[in-house]
Amino acid sequence: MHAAVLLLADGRLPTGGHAHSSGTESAVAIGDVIDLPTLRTHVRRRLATTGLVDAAFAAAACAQADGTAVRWRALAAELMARTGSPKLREVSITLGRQLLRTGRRAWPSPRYDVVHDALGGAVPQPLVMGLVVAAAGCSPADAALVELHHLVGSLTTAAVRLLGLDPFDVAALSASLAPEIEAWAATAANTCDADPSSLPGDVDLVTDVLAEHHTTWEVRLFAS
Amino acid sequence: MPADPRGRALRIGIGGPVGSGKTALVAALCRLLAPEHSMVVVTNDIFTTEDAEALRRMAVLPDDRIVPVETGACPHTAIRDDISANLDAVEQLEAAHPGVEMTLVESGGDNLTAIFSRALVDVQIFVIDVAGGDKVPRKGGPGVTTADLLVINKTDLAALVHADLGVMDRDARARRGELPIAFTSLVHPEGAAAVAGWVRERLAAWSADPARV
Amino acid sequence: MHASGELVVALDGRGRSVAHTICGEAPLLMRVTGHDPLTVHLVGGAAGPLGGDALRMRVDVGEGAQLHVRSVAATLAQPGPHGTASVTCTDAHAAAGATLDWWPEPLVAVAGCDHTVRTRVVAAAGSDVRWVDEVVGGRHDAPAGTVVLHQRVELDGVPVLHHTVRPSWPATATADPTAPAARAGRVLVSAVWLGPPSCRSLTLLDAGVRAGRFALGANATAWVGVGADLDVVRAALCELDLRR
Repeated sequence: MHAAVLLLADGRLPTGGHAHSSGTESAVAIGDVIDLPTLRTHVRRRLATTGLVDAAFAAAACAQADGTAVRWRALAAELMARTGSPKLREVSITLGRQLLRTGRRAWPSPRYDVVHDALGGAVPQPLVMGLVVAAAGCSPADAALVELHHLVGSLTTAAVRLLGLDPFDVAALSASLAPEIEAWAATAANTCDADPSSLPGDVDLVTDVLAEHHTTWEVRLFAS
Repeated sequence: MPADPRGRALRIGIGGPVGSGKTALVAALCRLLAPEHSMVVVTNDIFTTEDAEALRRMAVLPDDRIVPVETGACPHTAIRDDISANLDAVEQLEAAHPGVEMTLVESGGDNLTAIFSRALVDVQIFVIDVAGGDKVPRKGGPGVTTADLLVINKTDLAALVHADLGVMDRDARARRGELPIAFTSLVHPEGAAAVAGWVRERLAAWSADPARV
Repeated sequence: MHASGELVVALDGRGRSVAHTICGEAPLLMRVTGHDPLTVHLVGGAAGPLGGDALRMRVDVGEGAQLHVRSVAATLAQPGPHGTASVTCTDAHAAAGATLDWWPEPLVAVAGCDHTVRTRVVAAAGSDVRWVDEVVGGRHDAPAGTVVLHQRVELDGVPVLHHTVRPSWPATATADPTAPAARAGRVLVSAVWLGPPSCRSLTLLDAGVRAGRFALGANATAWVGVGADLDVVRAALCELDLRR
């Protein structure tokens, strides 16, 4: 394993992700996540839906980091078609812009400008992740795994903060999900050479509804 | 230093504990300086977009010049360790308002350990208040000790809370050496005049040579 | 059993929408039930699909023509004799200026079924296409079968919605009984409307339903509703301006 993968997976890498709960704040508010077992279900469901999709697009972006503007536009359009909530689309673009800044400084590459220009500056986060992972010399499988790792980290960290869960229990939960995370990453990476329209499209419709509802709250701790 | 500061706005961080008067100071600075200079404001709220809304209600600047950043439970992380969201907001806002001369970044209310990254702001103001007790300057912390300007606010309350302004001044000087200190009472609009004067000086210096602010 | 159906609608010389082709093998039986707008009902739904069936339906609405599609009853997806899966593929095309309004009664995933719904809607710029898929997990008070809903919608060559929904209803064989979506019940509605200016995003949440309306660009809106009861979900979506 490359040391770069560990750095890309480090929650302290400055990419702005710490401000987001990836939907956990809404799930807690509505009572879907109240304790460790429900957090486990929540994480597993997200791995199988948005996690798989984002990981597959990150892997596809990494595999063809030298792709044409046409391919980048197709990847972005397909990913947005899999993201019903406008708020989640906006969050993906914002996090993409923030990760792009980190990538440019840490792993410089001329490809960033190609993609940025092809998409008018609106590059969804999984595509940027694929690009940065490629620039760091790592593989599509790494891109998928790192993407899923950050999803799990975001979901579980938010649950610790919002519910005061035992952080050691939560660490154990994340550890126990490792085989599942690896399996989803492998599934995602397997599709990395497919036509963008054939990439996975699994969604959890409630995630979209709750993400949109979250924007209407008067008081919230996380940006999404 | 942020990458290539030439030609862009002076970025001023305003930090300090909850309730010390950061939003009031931002409002006062906008009132005093916006007639002379093109300004934008980024606020960091812990739970809401309340500070941005408050500034918009006070109409100190047009709404599109005030943008809130949500910081996800860690206000100090968002100004120090991972400034991505703030820097993104600052750059988007500056790009939307060509020619802007000054960007104020108000941190979320935090504790005495908070400090802005030098990659996010060029100069920073730390705001504490008399009502927090006259021991605060002695307790120090990076904000009190190293901020480019220390503002000690709510001097009008000193007698009510039995705070000795002389003690605060003495302790702050001991911590800060030559770095400036301003005592303010923002219940009156002109209360921020000294701070506004300091900001004007920084802005003039920045315009002359960004490297020497 | 493999069966196919075809429905082709175009304007005739006098500007009326006419079903040039309307043919289908059971259970894809259709009847014209109204004009202005031309309305076609699916009439064979209750008979299938059964496990092992592969049903294929093609709908084509020509330039300027109008078509509304409804059904007389819910479609029951049921297990087959050999425990195999079933699939229904629907391909719809709408030309410029065409109107297609697709809102049949729900698909009921009967206990033991393993059914896939695969919908592809290709709409030209300037068409007006509303597509509503309703899925119910199991007959009243009975366990649900397994169902997968694939929807892909393209407008003017651009994908506006592409998703695969695998509801994990309480009694589905593979379901996790604590799955979050299950807490809101076992009715799922996913709809999209292309053509009119998109509606502002809105949500509606209460004990029995989670529903939302999402703007997908300038000329497309999607609705989703998940809840305990079809009437409740429909009522929520109606409040979000998705009405028959």
